[in-house]
Formats: sequence, structure tokens, C-alpha cells
Amino acid sequence: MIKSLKDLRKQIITASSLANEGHIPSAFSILEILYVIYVVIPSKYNVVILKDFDFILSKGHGSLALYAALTASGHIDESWVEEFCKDQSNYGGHPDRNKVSGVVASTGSLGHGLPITIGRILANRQKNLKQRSFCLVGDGELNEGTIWESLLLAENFKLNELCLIVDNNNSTTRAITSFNLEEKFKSFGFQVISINGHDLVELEKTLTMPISENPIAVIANTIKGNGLRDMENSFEWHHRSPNKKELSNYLEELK
Amino acid sequence: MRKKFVISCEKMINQGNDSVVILGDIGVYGFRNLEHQFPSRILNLGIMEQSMVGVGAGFASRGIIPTLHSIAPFLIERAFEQIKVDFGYQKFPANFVSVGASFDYASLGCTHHCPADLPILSNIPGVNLFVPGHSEEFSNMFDLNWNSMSINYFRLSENENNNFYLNKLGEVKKIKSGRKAIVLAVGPILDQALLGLSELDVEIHYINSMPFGSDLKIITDLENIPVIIIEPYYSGPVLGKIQNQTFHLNLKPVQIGVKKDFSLNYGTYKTHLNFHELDAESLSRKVRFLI
Repeated sequence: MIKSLKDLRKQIITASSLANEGHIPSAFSILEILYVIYVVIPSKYNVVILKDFDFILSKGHGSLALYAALTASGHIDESWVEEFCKDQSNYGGHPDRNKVSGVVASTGSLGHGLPITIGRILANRQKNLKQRSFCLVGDGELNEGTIWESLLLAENFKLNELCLIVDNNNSTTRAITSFNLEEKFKSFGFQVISINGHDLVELEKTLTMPISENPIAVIANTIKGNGLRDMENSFEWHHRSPNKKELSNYLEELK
Repeated sequence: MRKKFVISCEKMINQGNDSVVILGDIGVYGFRNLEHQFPSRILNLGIMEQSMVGVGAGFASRGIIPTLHSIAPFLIERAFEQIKVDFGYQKFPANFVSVGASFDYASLGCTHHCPADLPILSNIPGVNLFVPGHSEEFSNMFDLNWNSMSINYFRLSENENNNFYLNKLGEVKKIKSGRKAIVLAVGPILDQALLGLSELDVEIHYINSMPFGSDLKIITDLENIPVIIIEPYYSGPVLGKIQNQTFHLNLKPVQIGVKKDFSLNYGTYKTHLNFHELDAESLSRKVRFLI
């Protein structure tokens, strides 16, 4: 059932190439994070995602990584690779909660996932349910006002169940930068942890920390396009798919 | 209507644990006792309408139906994309309850006017529109529909009709008989229509809600005459609901609504009615011309 990360990367580029669609570099920067959430934590800690802990992928354009992780966790089968972005497919360029098992929020328009996560935590409290809630946002997504409104809510309601993960893949360097993220999150009362977002051990250790006093912001420092030299930190590849020849070369590189 | 809203919310909260009221720092004083009693179920999230809608969707995703309340332009126009994506696309239930539309907050200026709320919401699949013309209508319709598992929009008005008529989603009620035209008046504009058109040979019907996915049914024997739709907002939503009937009865639709123009004056609700030619005298003049 559980695939290696290289196999998942192969799924991702193959699906993208077949459909001529998808955001591969964004998927590659978050793949290890999703792998730890959907595969490592449930298997090693005997917990069930969306039952024992919650997760929303707010940067929905990373859907390729989400589907790959869902394959590895057994939520969906590998047919998604062939079906990706086809007309009647369940698996689109952004995830649809009404179509994909293991997805609780349809995302795509940025800045929506964090407010929904906050609402889910407040609803949990109303139901006397205490569980860790993860929300993964992109560093570019931090430009959205709803992110900072939500941080204010997290501080006001002391939402220590919240673990906000920032895919810090330097997307902001081409637009508006967030400057010192650690200081910003701290000023909203968050405990801030900065890690290598591709290191499975660091990710596991951080994402399994017990709930304490404050909400947590994990700044996952990642490389956009991590795993394929051509795509790493390349703006050209942000929304581009490999042709047949490129696919063949990249599959070889991922061996 | 705002007082009735608080009473209805109290009933809703006391009915069970599957509801929450989310305020955008509006109407907070009216909710003070209820908030004190149920601090986790009456939430004032402050002035962040987009995030407030997203938070509501989070509740809905957990099976708790949110009722979200703020001033119409901020709740609907500012947070339109959140309503569309977080509720419409995701298929989550909610109640959106606004105040201040179209120009109830006349003297506060254009930033607080909102004649576009109903037309733009009618573009979101799954939204039921409620435009009560009387407090009793609001109470009854909210109490019946808050947990209908749909997206409901209730538009609270500061200016009410003298009588209440309808409590059921999608009903149309004939108020007056006549032969030369059918007039459809929506919500709180009915009294202006009755005042202006009482002497005219027109049949007047009243509407205060528009269900998503089904037509409004006008019970009439009349054919081949104008059907004049009077809406206290930008014209549009009603016409789409009567088009089949209009075609079959060979009715000629005419829409009268709020002008597509910023009403830059302050003044009162009445002066804005005059500006938009929705006062009784203007309606009388327009309908006389049409018949």
C-alpha cells in the first residue's frame, strides 16, 4: 500500500503530463508534509485522519501531492493518475470535498482553508471534542487578508488545537514578501517552529507534538519543485506540465 | 424585525446543539443576554466578514448550522466569494441574515447601501431568498427554514408593511383584483404599491421569498397583459422565477426596481424611495403609463 516518496513523485509528474495540467512544483514542495500527515502519523501512532485529527490543504493547487498522499494512505487507488483532470474525474486541479474521500474542504481560491479550520475547531469545542487540527497554507497565500484575520481569531479564542503549517517555498519572492514570519506569528501568540519541510523525521517530531498552551505555526522551509533539478525554484514550471520526452527524462531522474 | 431575529435565534439555540450564531460586530447589544447565556454559540467575530463566513463553513462542515449576521453590503458583497465557494460549491447549509439593504441606512451613504444583494445571491446555486415585508413573516419563515439544510438568505428590513401575508417559501398571494395588468410586489415595497395603485384596475400579488430551483406560481385568470414586477432592489431575481408562466400566458414583463445609479444623497428611506421612483406616487405614474 505505502509507496515511496519517489514513487509518489513519479505518479505526480505522470498525472500532470497525461492531463497537461497541474502545479507540479507546488506539489513537490509539500509532498513530505502530506506524506507525514496521511501516512506516517496514522500508521505509527494508530490514529485515523479526520477522526482523531483534522487536516485541510488550503493551498488547493497542491492537489497532485494530496492525491498521491491519499494513494499512499489507501484512501484512493492509483487510477487517479489516469483520471486527473479528465472531464468526469473526481480528481481535479483543486480538490473537491464532495468527490474525494479524505478531503473535508474544497479549496483552490486561496485564503479559505484557515477560516474553515478555525470554524471546525470552534465546532469541536462546542461538541466537547479536543483534537489537533492541521491547516497547510502556502507562503504566497499569506498575502490574503483572511489569513491574518484568522490568526487574530486563533489568538483571541486561544486555539491551541491549531497547527498552522506554512509551505515556505519562496513563492513570495516574486511578489509581496512576508518578511520575518517568525516574529509575525509570535506577535499573534503562536509558538513558532521552523523546520526543513522535506525532512520526514523533523516533520514527524513537530507534527506529533502534544497540544500545549498556544497554537503552533510550523514554518516548513521547502524547495518549490523539490526532487527534480529542472523544476527546483523555477517559475517557468509553476503551472507547466512535462511533455512525453520530458516525462521520460524525469522518470529516469527519479529512479 | 431585528428584535424578532433575536427571539428566533433564542428559539433556535434552545431547540438543540446543532446551531451557532455568528455576528460581524453588528446587533451585538440585542444579543447580549443570549450571548451571556450561550457564550460558545453566540459568537461576535468582529469586523472580518470574509473570515467570518469561512468560520461559519467550518461549523457547517461539523454539522452545526451557522446563522451569520451583518450589514448587507459587508455580509453579501464583500464576502460574496466566500459564500459562493465555502457554502455554495461545498454544499454546506447556512442562514445569512442581513440588515440595511437596499438603502435602509439611507443617511449613512453609499458604502452602506446594498440593492445588489438579492441579484448577486441569486447567481449562487442552492440559495433560497427571503425578503420578508413584516416582522411576523420573518419570524415564521426563519423558524420554519433555519434548519432546512439549504443556504438561506433573510433580508431584514427597517421599513415594514402594515400587514403580514405569507409564511411559506415560494408562495404568492393575491392581494387585489384587477384586469389591465398583473403587479407583483416584493417584500416591504408592497405598501407603496397598494397606496399608489389602489385606484387602478390592476391585479396585485405579493411575494416575499424565492426558492432555489422552482418557479413562483401566480394564480390568475388574466392573459395577454403586462406583468409589472416591483422589486425594492436591483431588478432581476423574480423575472427568472416567472418566465415559464409569462410565456404560457403571453404576459409582457416589465421590471421596476432600484435605479442603477449611486444614490449620493443622505436623507431618509422615504427620500431614497423618491430618488429611485419607488414611492407610491411614482409607482402610480409608471403603472398608469404602462396600462
